[in-house]
Amino acid sequence: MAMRRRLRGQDTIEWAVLIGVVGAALVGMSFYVKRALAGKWRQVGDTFGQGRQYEPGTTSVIKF
Amino acid sequence: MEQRELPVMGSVMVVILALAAWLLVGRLFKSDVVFCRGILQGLAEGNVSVASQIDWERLKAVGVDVGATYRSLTTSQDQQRYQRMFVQKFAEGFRQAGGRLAAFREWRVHAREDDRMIVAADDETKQKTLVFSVSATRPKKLEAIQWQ
Repeated sequence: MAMRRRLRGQDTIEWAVLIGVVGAALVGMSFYVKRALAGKWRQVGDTFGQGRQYEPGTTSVIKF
Repeated sequence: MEQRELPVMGSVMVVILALAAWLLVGRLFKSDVVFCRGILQGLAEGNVSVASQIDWERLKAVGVDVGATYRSLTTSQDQQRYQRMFVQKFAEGFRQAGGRLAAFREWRVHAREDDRMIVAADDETKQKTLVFSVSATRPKKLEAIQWQ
């Protein structure tokens, strides 16, 4: 209730733009978050594969 | 008989032409006002279709360079999501702040410049005037919203 009263005291357009910009900026940040996650997956893959990549015909695969 | 009808016909033609010109000018002025009013209404209601009427790369809103963040987005997919999110969050913020579209009155064309059109509306609750800057080139798009 107190928050609602505080918001009413502010300019509606300013508040709306602020919320809009912050919300929309999260979309831009998602790009960097995706890249960071992809980097982490790569790091995990490199750890298990000891830096080597799978290459058909060259990499020997052991089936259990 | 025919000589008497000619001045009458001429007067009628002048009146019709004047009426057509008046309607055309009125329509031109009104269309810009309706355009800006529609954008504010769309933003306030979270209507994503207004996104196509906004120049996102240049958009400045009440001192905030909205276009700067938009320009930094590299893919069109992210840009579209940014547009959608901005409109939806704007509506959310407008509602939270207790905004009312009816508070904006006296919509009018404030000024006409070579490359843009300035439309104004008075906010009776804040005793301020909100000014919309619209590009004059087709398709016309909203470039800025600011207080005056």
